[in-house]
Amino acid sequence: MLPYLTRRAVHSVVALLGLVVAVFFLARLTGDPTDLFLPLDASREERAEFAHKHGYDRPATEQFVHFVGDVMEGNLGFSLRKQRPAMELVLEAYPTTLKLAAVTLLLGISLAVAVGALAAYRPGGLFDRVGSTGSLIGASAPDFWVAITAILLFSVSLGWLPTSGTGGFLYWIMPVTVLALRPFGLLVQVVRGAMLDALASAYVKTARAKGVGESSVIYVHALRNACLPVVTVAGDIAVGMVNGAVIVETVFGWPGVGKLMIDAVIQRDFAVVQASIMVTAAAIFLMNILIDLLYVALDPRIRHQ
Amino acid sequence: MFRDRVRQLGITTMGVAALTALMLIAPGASYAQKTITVVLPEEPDSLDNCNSGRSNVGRVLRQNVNETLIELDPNDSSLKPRLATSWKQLNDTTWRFNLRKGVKYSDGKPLTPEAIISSVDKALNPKLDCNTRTKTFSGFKIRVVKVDAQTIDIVTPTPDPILPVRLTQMTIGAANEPIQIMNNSVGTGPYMIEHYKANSEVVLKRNPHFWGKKPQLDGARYVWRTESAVGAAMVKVGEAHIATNISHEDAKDQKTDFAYPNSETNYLRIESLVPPLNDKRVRQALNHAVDLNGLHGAIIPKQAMIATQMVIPRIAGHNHALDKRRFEYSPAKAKKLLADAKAAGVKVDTPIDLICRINQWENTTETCEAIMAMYKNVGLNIKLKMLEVSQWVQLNAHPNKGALTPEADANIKGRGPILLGHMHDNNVGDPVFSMYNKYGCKSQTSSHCMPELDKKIAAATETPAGPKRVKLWEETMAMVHENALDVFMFHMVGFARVSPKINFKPTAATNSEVLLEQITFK
Repeated sequence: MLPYLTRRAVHSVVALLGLVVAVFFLARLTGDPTDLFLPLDASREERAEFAHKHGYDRPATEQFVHFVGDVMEGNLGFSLRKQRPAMELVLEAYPTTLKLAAVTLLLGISLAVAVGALAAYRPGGLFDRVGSTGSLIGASAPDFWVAITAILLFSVSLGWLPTSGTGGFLYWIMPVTVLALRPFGLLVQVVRGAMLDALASAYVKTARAKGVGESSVIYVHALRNACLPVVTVAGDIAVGMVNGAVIVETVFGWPGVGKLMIDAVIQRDFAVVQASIMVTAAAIFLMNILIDLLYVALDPRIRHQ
Repeated sequence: MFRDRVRQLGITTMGVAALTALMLIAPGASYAQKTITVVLPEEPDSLDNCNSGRSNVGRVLRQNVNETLIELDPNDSSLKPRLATSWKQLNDTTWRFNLRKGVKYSDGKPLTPEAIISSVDKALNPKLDCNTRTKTFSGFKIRVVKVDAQTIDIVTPTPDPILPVRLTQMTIGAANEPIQIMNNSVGTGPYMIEHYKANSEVVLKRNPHFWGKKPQLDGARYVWRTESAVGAAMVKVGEAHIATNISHEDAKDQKTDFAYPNSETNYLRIESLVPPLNDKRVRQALNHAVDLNGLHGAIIPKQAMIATQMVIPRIAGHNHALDKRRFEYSPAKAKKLLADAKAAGVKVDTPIDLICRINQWENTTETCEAIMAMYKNVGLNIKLKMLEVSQWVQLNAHPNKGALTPEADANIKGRGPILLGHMHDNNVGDPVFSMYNKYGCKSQTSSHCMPELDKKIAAATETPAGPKRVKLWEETMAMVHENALDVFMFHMVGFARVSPKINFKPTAATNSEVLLEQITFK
């Protein structure tokens, strides 16, 4: 196990370094932040002075050497807009994203497993039809539209929930529900399919023929094997979520890393773009390792390979 | 049996998930009764008074936390005393200001000439990129000199007849602030920063040392929502009291939604030095071909005003006579002008790019698509391109001026003639902040160069405030109009939703400041 983890960690670090280099140069291909930062009518001299002060007039390779030097000293640069350390901004925003992702995934996966398993119990039955149609709608509905409609319905018309912002339990209901809809929809389909396969498989029949209890058949035999495709899809969704939920963060005013990153890209705030991508990439690599470990825990065959 | 197990599985997983979710969720906050909540479209970049020229900073700080020496009346652009009670020009380059007595910062320290010197030095320090310097004092260094405890002189390197107007844009911070951008500006205004939670909210509370009348509000909480519909909904359900910058589509409630002139003018910038746009007939045709009445009320809010010049009517120098003789919509006239130009050898069928910036104003895409159709209708070879802000800014900062300099030549390589969709905001109150930048031969962002107009702009700039200055600006506006240098469209409006529980009327200044001291509960 340790050699495996070491190998994955080394791969991740190499990939992270490659990503940082790519992001550094690609960000600079979008242009010079000078024109975006200064007022539209700034003079030629002011533009030149600003670009010189921030090093934007130097070749990208020279800027990269400076950047590497700064990173070695633990300095990921200052946000041009906020005039604060870029890493500080990212670390302020990241817990929000992680909390939102964690709650959403927990609810989305739990509900999907329950609904998917119930749907698989009687394929073609009423619950299966309703569940499948509902999950299809959930997987297809555009986040933005759902979010605005939910605000108009539950906040403006019914007055049940706050429109947006962060706070107590009520503030979480709409963002989490909107964000969980798509994972829920996708996972219901996956769980249903996987459980159907598992329950019809030879090993389940064998287990039942041997007189194994029904709960063991479901929990030990069927669900455990049905979990593998669920983990694959849920892992993919989780990776997307630690990258930030831009639409939900934007509509509901949740100060997460997704919105921070998008704003930084639009404003060519290079330091924030680089810092946020480094942090999210590290989180994604970590998440992938966790998913691999979960795979190993669920399927002994992978462990033996 | 199996069904029970599955149900049990479902209940257990949902229970675990709900419990974990509740553990992660923290309780919310509550605020005092006489505190209002203001929804802004974006988070302030900082809370440093030297950046109060940025609208997202100014709406929180300007005149609430940090005051200016002189205040600009948004209704008629007149100047009013604030921290300075009176002022006069001593000579071409020196102005004297008498300071208000008994003014204290929110930390209890007195406002002194030394504090003003320190604050101005910081705002204009080239080590920082303060918006006050880059926007209002671009290339213009002033020096503050103490005369006595209540008097200062401000010395300019060259004559500046509108220094008092310029000073309406400079808020005053505390003495000896560190030379860095901060998030805890201290000022003399009626409010002070209680706390700033990055990414979340700014809360202001009353400044106990404020020199003026005690305002009715205890404080204000600022939050930000990018989506206009969410801001509007927050006011509707009582979560907030003011939502600035809501969209036209969201401003449908006559009781709570207000349109206000926001000092912005949208127009198409013509590159008048580049063929075929260097021909006056072609430019006139561009003006006659656009049906502004057709756009007005359909794509552009009906509260907007059809524009004939760069600055809005309340600015002294706006030529009101031009408003009565704007270019009439006449495709026939446009076609004739183009035919005349073609007969004279002008290549009127040269491809022209109409370039607009996505979301520069509400319905930008629809406006530009309609204009493209109108231009095609008169036979122009027009292609529309919609650009993101970063690409658009490149074109704005490096206009095609017929390659007047080697640098410009490199920047515009391969470009054809361009009509650039543009929005200009002059909320300062004098045309000087518009005309040189837009029409000066040496201006970085001007796509024009008319020596006669250049001289007129210079003369108006140097003339002291008064009727003569106003007349000169009016003449420059007329000159731009007569030469059809640009295609002016609309003096735009903004929309704000205001809770029926408070008294507040948005004005032209609402884009840059929200004066809490003028807001009261009903």
